[in-house]
Amino acid sequence: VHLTRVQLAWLTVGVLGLGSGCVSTRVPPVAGPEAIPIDLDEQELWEDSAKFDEYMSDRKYVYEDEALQQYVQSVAERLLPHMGESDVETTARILKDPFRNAICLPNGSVYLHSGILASLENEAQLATLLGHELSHYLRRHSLKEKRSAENRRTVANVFLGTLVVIAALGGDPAAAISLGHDANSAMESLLDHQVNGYSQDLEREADKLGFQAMVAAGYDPREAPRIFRVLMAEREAQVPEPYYYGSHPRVEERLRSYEKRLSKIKGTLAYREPGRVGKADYEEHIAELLLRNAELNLRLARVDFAREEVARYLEIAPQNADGHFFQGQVYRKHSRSPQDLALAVDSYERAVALRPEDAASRRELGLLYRSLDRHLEAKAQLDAYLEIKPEAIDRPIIESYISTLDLE
Amino acid sequence: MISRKNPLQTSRLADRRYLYPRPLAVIAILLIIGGSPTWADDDYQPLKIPAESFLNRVKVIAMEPFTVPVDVVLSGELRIKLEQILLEELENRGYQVLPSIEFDSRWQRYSEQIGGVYDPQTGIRDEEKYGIVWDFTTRELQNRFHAQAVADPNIFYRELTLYPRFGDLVNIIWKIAGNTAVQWSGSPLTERPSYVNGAWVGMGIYDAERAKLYSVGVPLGYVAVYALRGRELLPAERLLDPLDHYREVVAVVVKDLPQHSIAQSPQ
Repeated sequence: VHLTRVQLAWLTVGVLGLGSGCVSTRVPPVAGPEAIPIDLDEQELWEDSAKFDEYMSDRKYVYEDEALQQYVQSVAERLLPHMGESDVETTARILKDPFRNAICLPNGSVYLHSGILASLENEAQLATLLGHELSHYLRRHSLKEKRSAENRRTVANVFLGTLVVIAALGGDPAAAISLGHDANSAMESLLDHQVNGYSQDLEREADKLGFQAMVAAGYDPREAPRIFRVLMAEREAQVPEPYYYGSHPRVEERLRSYEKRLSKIKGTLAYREPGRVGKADYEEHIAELLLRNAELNLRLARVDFAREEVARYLEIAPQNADGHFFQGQVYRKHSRSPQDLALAVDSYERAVALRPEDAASRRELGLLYRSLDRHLEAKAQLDAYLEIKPEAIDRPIIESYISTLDLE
Repeated sequence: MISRKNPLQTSRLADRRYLYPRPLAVIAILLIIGGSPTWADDDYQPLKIPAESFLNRVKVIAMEPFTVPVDVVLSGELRIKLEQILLEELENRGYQVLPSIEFDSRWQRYSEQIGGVYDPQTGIRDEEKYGIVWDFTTRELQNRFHAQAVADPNIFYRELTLYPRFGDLVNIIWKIAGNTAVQWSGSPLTERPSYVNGAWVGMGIYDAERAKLYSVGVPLGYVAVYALRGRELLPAERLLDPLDHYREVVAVVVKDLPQHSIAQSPQ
């Protein structure tokens, strides 16, 4: 390649620009004295995070359950001493979102979707998830990714910009325009990387640190890969989900990574004498969330998810009338077979038996009996409904139904 | 307990803001709150659940009456024709379709029994009453006809403005105009319009929970053009006469619906 002096000068400017325009992606972890001076670009990340926190709480996206929130927070705080220094603060919140995801903002705010909590089986799996997410925070992955993107952008800008100038100076305007277009495409793809999560290197670093922390905190390491098998379980004929933990290929990557980490500690005391799983504690805390998340899933027509969640709820709380009523609703409204309707009847009957004064259960059971031509039973339940709730808006309709029942 | 000083207290961001792009908050908020893609999005997916699930769940669809904007005058005969074309397209895809009279007669009856769904003074919908009427109506259609879903066909307007700009406006307007230039007094409009009012044929399909299973809007044509030189209003009825174009649009409305391999009778 023969360059003129002018072209050579531009190329030199470009190379110098590469050196001066890049910022270091080797940043210290959050814990530790090196973390105290915070650069402006990280301050911006924190400011954005604070806005995000405010946005979420303002719009009531946060799932309000003080006991559950404190429980999740306590698991996070149990991990932190094993991830660096113990004087780092984090806040865990739960969002009302049935899609499975978890994020950790650059300021340490952790957001867990109700959908992912409903999918996890025990506290050890929760610790795995939190360990992974907190690692992103403690290792300042957002800042690294931002700087890395900035640097790549700078490289792309300077490199392509220089070539554009060279092409233009070389008397090839078409090539210059084409290169300019490529530069724009590079910008778009860089932003796309930010949307789709961290690079594989950073994800692996989070796997490593998170896994070490959950083992050191006394959790059963064998639960770590299990969380990803749970998330990969196919439901609803592979429903596409918009977020990281609902993405099959990326969850599969995490599964392999954690299986590798687990295999490395085989033979150690931590593997031979596994620690805490925390199934009972976990289920006690998420029981109510299972029902609320099932409602959210129904609004999105994710009936299989809702069925599984309500079934799990009833395993945890078999004597709860709400659970039986909700199960009746799911099977009645989305019946696919006569067996579904039979199950709906059974669920409503249990709800009524557990809470005879519940008007809604009486109404649903009565209407279902009516549709199954069980008129005498229908009348008994619908009468009871009107007696419990005499001011019911649908009273005229129910009365007209009762009047047409065949009571012979 | 906190080992770091709060960066927000010492921020001089206002001075340096221009140096850095700040996509995080916007991107994160969009990621969290989700939001369905718009009709203008190339990735737009009318089907909201996997095709296999849709086929398992929906065989019989009850149709709601066709709704149109208030300024569109439809004769009863034309309304029936519009519905019939859609009904045939759905049947061609293997669904059994209940004409809107089945839904509408029940809806009207239940609504009357509880004293109406809309406040006669304000016209505001009472959500609780609406929910009750929907519940009884869909329950009856399920019991009697095994209808698992309800379709709400409609024609609606959408204003396409330059500000705020969304999507490829020029391309959208081109599509709405039937892949030709927008006309002004019978001639192609040479300037870019300020905004165009488009008429769409839309259809949502809902389950008993009112969860959306399918949702689509397909441009039918435009009914108003606003440009620097003034505005030109066109009666929406012209878009339905003759019905050939409407028929083509309806074919697009149903094209993403999964097809039942064999038309099956309800259970």
